[in-house]
Amino acid sequence: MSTTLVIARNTISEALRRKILNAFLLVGVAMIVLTFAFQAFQPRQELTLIKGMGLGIISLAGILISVILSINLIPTEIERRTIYTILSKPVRRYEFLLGKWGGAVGTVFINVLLMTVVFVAAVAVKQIIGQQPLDAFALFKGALMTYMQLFLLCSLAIFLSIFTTPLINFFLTLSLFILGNLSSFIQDLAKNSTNIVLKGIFTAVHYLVPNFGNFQYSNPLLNPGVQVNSEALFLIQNVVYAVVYSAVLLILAVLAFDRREV
Amino acid sequence: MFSKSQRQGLMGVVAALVVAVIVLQARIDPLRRQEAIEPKTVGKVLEKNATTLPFEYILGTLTGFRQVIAGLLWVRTDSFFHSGNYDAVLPMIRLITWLDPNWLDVYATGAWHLMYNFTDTDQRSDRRYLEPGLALLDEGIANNPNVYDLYKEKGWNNFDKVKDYETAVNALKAGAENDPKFDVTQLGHLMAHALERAGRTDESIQQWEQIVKQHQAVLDDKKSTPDAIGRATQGVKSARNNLAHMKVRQIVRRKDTQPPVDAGFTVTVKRTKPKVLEISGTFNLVGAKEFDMGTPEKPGKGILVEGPVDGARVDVRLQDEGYKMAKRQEFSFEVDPKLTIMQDQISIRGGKKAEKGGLFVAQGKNAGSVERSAEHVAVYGFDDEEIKKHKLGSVLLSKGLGQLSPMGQLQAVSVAYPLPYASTKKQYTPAEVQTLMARLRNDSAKLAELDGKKYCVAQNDAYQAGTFRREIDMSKDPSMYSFANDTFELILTMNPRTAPDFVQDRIGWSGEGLTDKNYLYVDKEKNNLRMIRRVIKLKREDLTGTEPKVLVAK
Amino acid sequence: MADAIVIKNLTKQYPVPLKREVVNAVDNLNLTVGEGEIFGFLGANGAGKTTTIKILLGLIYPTTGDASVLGAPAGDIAVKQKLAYLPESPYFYEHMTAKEVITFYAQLFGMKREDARRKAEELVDLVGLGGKSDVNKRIYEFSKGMRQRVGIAQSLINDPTLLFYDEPTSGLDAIARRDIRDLMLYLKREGKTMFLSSHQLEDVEAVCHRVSIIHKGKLRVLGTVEDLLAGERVEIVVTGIDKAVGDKIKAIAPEAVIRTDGARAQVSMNQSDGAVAAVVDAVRQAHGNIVSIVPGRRTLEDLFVEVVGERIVIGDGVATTESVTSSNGSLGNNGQGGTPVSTASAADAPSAAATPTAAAEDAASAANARTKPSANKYKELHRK
Repeated sequence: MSTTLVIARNTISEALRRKILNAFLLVGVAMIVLTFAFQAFQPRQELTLIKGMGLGIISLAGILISVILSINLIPTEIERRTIYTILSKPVRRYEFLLGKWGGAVGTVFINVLLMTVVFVAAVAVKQIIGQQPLDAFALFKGALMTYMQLFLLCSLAIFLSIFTTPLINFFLTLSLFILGNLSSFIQDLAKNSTNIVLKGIFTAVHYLVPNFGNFQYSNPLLNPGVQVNSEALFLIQNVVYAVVYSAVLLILAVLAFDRREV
Repeated sequence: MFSKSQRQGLMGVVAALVVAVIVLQARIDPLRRQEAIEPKTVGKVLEKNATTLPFEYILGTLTGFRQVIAGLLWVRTDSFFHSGNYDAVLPMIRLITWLDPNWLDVYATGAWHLMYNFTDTDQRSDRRYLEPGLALLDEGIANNPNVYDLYKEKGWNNFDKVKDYETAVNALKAGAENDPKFDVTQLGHLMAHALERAGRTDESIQQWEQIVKQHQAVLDDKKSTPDAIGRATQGVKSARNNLAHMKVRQIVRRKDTQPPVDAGFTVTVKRTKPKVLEISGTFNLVGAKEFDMGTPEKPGKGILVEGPVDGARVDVRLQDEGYKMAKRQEFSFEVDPKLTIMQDQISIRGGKKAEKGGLFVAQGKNAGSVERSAEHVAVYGFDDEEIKKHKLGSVLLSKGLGQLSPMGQLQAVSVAYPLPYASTKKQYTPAEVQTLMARLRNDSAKLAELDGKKYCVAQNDAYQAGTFRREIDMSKDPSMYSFANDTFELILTMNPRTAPDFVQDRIGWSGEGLTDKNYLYVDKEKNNLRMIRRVIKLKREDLTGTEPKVLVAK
Repeated sequence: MADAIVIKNLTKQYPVPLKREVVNAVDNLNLTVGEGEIFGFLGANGAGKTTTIKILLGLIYPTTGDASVLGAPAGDIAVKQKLAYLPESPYFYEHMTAKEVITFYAQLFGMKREDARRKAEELVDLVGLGGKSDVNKRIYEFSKGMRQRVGIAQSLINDPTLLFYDEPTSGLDAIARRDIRDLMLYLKREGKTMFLSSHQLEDVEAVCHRVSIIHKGKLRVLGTVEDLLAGERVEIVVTGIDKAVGDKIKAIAPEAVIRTDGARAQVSMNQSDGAVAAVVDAVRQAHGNIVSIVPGRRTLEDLFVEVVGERIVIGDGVATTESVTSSNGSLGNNGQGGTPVSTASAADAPSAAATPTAAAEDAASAANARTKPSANKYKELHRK
């Protein structure tokens, strides 16, 4: 376990020094700050805009950071042969893989947290100055959902990286991300489909493809009047979903990586 | 490497977890698919705009960025609006309200665009867009039934634009019922005003009383934020003031509105150019010049000085004959290009009054320019023609002191000893008047000065009706006024319920103090509203003909 | 003495992309390395050296056969506590400093963070990267030599029993090479076992007890350095001969290696009076000139070229092989396509580990005599 933590920590510190990932983070933070340039709107409209844009930017920057980080972690280790020196030490393969995964979700966590703190603080300051009701902290719920989505996305990308090259994985992961986001749409297709084969396929896709659409939770945060039933239950179930699905992907990745030649 | 049994064990765990994933998904689905999290309208974006919307927008919409897309579109919409491109605004509004059906401001702003911003001049908006504007609000209310905001918008638009106060009241009541957290200042106050405008004065008073209690509850609540307390303090002040006015007016208007004023309504309609109408006429608009409010406990005297006032308007509406605004079942920003509706308002100004024994100013060629101090006490300037016409005589003040009526005495004193301009207006008491009149009689220098300013004592009662006039040019925007129909109706109305307070003080909330020999119209559907209304039927040729022509003379 | 490495009938096959064939990267390899032995593992690029090392480390898995390391199956986690691996041209996390990298690796051995830091500091000093100008540099700013030093440092973290060094001196300057060679000699004296794959044949010659040559996955030569290099050689430099003469020479002395350089040709062959005279005669009959005949000791390079049919050329930092050809066509065997020249001890070489020979020990003591500071430091390090 400690080996896994050492590798995770090392992965995070290495990732945090990578220019490309930091560039996304910086652009993310800069764009969040820029959204405060919407001066032409009524204060409430402006806040809705800022909240929507901010959550979107965190999500988008997070997706890019997650995917680019996760698809490369293990292939780069193999390509650059850094894995040889690690696996020749008393490190089990699953420890290595889990360490890398931990590094990915840890790095994404730090990035999302940084962006969210900047964002929430900025919204809170704006609400206090504008003497508007202070609900900025509810945005952490959105950030949590975004993070759990990215958590699952990292697991998926790392799982796929055992079998594919980064380029193929990039498109594969993004395709599955989009497909997973379309889950409701696919569920409707399944519901409305009369063809039994299609119905089966759509149902399988809905339940088995990682359901990234589960984590779309900006509506109630942007629009204060919206009342959600069983919000806490919904959020908790989504967290559990991301964790359980990630566990599936990681066990499969461990099994595949155990046999993989490096 | 794992042993075979280890691998089998792990695969077993995977199988169990996959079952857990499916069970979880089945439990998440019903929660996720509630409208509050995943609005169904989003599907319409794909259904109706899949081919016209850029791919990245579709992609963004599907991948959880729909609110970012909505935000970006809204920023674009705003820039379209600021560049005056309203036609581009509408499809955007349609799209955004599908993308984010809970973004209240988009409905509100969209309805505002529709109902106010399609104009051909500063005054006139394209009335065809009222239907879609209200339909948009109805859609917004349907999508956000538990938030008061759009009920308030619907109330406001009916109140201010459509001037359908009953509908406004109903919308506002529904808002208050469906959202217990409604803002009293925004929604409650508007409802009280709407009830008043609807002629439901008792209910309006009850509403103000209710509002005072609601504000007071906020002020008494120790948990209220400073912001809420600030708003409630303002609100309760304003509500108490309105409540007092309503209560006093309910009492004094009963007497002040009698006998009814004859509106003496006349209208002349000229076609000056094709699709250009000049509408003019007279309206004897009498209101309170001086009013004594008092308090509900000790009501004042009401109207102290009545007389012709500026500040009410005649509504002019030209539309396809028989058109009635319909309620749309579904929002669409399309309007009937063949439908013609023009609505405008023309201010009534320049009415005058001289009361037998009172003062007037004989102004010769400078008729109309009356000293400010004199204006406050209702001294009107009459030119030589008018003096002759109304047989006012021209007895100078110094000569006519003996025949001054009590009101004339008050006026003479006010003119001779005017209060400083900035001070609060106040009527002299009878005792003060007697003292000051005695002083005036003995003050030959003052009397000479007032004579020099041509203050005269009226020998007869004389009312000069106010006039209204406007040239309405409907030739510039054929897309707005197609004149496709064969027959039209030009409707001229003066609705007491839309009149300002100081006019209503004389003619009543519902026209109780208003009459007209020819055009009094009592609307039974609107709680016996007495209004002035004249409907003139016109043919297309009347409007589009090229030669100047008088279409209606008086 | 126990065996450190035992390889039995080891075969590793890779599928050929887009074909149904497989290629044998390692082909029925049998090898044993004794504890305390410095074992040279030679071969051209693609011969199967790195594949073999990776199997021994458990990075890849054999198709058939077995490999055990320090008494446990290859890849055993417990054994890895005692192993060190220095890959060829090692790469590290580019954005970290040498000290951070070593600290990280040290933690992988279960060291506490503070201990790992101390260890890293010592090792970074030991390999000469502790200077002020280097200590804050990130790896991406390092030269190849500096990276190699980081590699050496990480291989010493756990005071390993068995070291796998893959081309430890390739691409280094002369001083760095000497330092590393001294280090290897020191490790030899310390009784470490080393599996050394190298192109630097002189290093191998100087350090190794036993040497093997692997070609196309098959073991071709195995023996002590002394045995393999036994026998005198003669170098005959001639001018003005053609391919026909070359063929004649190969017929006389099949083990001969002919290198051409423009009009000059250098024939390296075993000392044997009759054969040398026959070659001289053949040249003369073809009206060629004998420039010189010099007797000399057989080198590992000679042996390598004989076995592999390729000469090793060390260019600027990159080891490549070049086939031996003449200006007018192939002289002798072309390493790319022909069958390699076989030597007596090739495939069926004795598999039992030979005890380090007296000569090897001499070499070791010779190295000992000129012990370098780095090796001293190393010693001190492990005394602590």
